[in-house]
Amino acid sequence: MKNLAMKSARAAKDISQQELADAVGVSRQTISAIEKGDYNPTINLCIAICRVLGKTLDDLFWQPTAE
Amino acid sequence: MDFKSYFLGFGIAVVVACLLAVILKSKNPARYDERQKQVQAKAHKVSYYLLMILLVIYAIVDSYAKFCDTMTGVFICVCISIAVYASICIFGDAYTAVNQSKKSLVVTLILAGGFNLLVGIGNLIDGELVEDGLLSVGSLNLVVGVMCTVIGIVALIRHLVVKNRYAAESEDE
Repeated sequence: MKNLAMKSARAAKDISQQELADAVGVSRQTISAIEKGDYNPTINLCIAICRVLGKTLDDLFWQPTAE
Repeated sequence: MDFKSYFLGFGIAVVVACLLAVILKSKNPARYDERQKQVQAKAHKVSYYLLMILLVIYAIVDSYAKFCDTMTGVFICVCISIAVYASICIFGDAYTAVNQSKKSLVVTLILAGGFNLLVGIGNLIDGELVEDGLLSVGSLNLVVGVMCTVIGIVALIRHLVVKNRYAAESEDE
């Protein structure tokens, strides 16, 4: 499932994938894979991304269940 | 070139390459991110099992119809395995570390591939590839050269794919 919340949070901060990748210490392809839902990051990487984007884990990575 | 001198040259080359790698890595250790490590683990697994299968196939073929000496046969299996490992890593964007440029990969492939192809073609011209009707150690340079060329082509294809995809993603934003 695509992570549109992370993509929109990044766009709102006007940060490119490369800039976010450099800030959290991963490759640009890893950020791209997370946004496309191709890769599930570890909790450490999730926290690092949240810190850079100024969001909480719930904001970016919590998938609400359809009721 | 006899087997002993070839093996000595090969051994010296391996030692020099290992020393260079240790010196370079101590200055700027390669740092891979968590996704890259996952891709590398998968590539290791695939290339390991592939090597086992290739060695069994080589052993069976060798017992029925010997076409090369043992060192050459095993080395060809290892080269195929390395090429597959590198290809999986390249397609998973896990071959170059986060803190390393892709230029170092290209330079290494051009130097190693070009040198080995030149020596291999020289051996081909001198007729040192085949001895007593069997593919000999003189063909190893050509095998390594071809392996580097294959890895280089895979890297080039991946570079073009990523470039186009990144351009498309940037347009979406």
